[in-house]
Amino acid sequence: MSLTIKEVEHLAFLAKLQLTDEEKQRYAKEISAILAYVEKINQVAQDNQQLINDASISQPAVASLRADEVIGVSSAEQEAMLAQAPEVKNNLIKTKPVFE
Amino acid sequence: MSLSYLTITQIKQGLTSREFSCTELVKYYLKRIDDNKNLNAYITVATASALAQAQEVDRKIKNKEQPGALEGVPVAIKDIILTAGLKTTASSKALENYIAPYDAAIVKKLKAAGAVILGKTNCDEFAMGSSNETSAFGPVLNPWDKTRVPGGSSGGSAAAAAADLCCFSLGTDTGGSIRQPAAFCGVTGLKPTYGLVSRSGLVALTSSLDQAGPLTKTAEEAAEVLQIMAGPDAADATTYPEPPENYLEALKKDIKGLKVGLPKEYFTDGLSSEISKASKAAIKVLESLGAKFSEVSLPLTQFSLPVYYIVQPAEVSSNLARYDGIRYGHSSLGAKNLAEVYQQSREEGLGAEVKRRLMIGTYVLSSGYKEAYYQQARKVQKLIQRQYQEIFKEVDVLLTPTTPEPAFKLGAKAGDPLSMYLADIYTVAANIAGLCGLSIPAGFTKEQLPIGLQILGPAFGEAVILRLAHQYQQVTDHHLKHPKD
Repeated sequence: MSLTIKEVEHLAFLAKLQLTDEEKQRYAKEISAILAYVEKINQVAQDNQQLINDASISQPAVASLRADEVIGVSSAEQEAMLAQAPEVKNNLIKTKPVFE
Repeated sequence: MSLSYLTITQIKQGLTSREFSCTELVKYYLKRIDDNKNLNAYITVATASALAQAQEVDRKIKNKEQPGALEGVPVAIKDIILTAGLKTTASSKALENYIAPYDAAIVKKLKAAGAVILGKTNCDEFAMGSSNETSAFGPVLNPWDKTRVPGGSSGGSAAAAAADLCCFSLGTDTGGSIRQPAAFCGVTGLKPTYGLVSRSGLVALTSSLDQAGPLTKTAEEAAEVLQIMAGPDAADATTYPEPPENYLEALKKDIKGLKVGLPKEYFTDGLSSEISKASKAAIKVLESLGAKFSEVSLPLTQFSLPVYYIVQPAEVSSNLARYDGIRYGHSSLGAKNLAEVYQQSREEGLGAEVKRRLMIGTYVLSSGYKEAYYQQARKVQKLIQRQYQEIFKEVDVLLTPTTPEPAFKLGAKAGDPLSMYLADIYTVAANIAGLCGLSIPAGFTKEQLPIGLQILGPAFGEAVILRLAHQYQQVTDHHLKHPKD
């Protein structure tokens, strides 16, 4: 599967990355090579079609859930968390507007 | 008494008999770390807090208080594991100054047992890599040959354990990241079964594969540390609810009649002749201890790595979405709007390997491709799991080389991501198939590079793989050899 620059740009957009032109060229080549390798799994499909169709993806066992109640966080922990944010105002994390 | 290369037991005995103090011991390791700065094994050395912890241990011993199971034992922790008050960078610019407000569950357990935290070790960025060359803070050097890689992603932890920069270290293993560097650095590295050890407080990569584990000088110490780390955790719903078994008791039994399978797909042309020779020598030793060998076949082996490089990037693309410059981590100053905050912060904070995997993951999960790649990979994964489950009905454990070649030169695989991925060819199956795996030192190449042998066990089979390793280490001395300074 050979990726075009346009496809790399689309992936970068989905993954929220701003790539340089050099990066786009490089990743197009590298990712195409990696995809060509992983496509090997299709060989299994050919040899084991019956098994593949039966091999349903099982859901992990759901561990017992805890009660739906707020546990909360100490104010010290809250301060420690806010200290990590790039911009804080009135004990709230400040961000650029979602809607311009 | 020499403080060099002490085991956990020797440290505990030395401290309680007051042959040396914890403060002396910690100062010894801090000097070792400083003298070996060029290895770049540590990102953060917690000098002040380690000495404070040591003082506390000395006070406890003086007052004859009950010591913990790891009282006073100095440990190095991979910088992908959260430590409250001490930076956790994941070896990335994205988290360069991040200080977690809480300890990972396993860190809490080690602290409760009395362990002293020396610092955080270097690793591949966000634990993605097999050589510790993708770290944003420089590569780690292999203590056995400083022109070579220590392996990855837990390269710093492996180098620290090998060069006596700690008594033992913690790493994480998603596709081989404990076992492969353990093999390259000549130490013992254990990947527990998924679910045995809590992932709460681990910087998440691949939620269905990540596991933390110990890197130690001996299998016995790996069992001691596992005993502390293992167990259910309310904060991690994927942990196994039963309490762990007694691994130390289990070590003592012999291996007479133990059935060991040799999967022929792991012993093919791609394997270095020196590693092949070392494997044969190890088989002879184990046979003399009573183990029974048989050749087995695991035809789906060749698909483990492709499955891994679909599933792993897919989960990574989801787990790393949180590094968006909003709540923590690097945030781009020049961003003019919200979209730029995301795009620029991530572009500036994340390295090439991480970006590569993010895009592969995004691709295999994207509309139009998800069925062909991700869902197909999950189906093949199920087949691989079943194949290993069937094999473990015939044998107790599997023995394989850990890596196809010994530690390679720095930069040797830098330009070719795919050839780097192939370094994990023998280790990924354990993660993909939900097994446990251990790498132990099994000899050296002509160039004095360590050779690792891998023991694979069924899910929750840690007792049997540790027992095999321990009995092997009773009659061999590869694990007692140390690199020159």
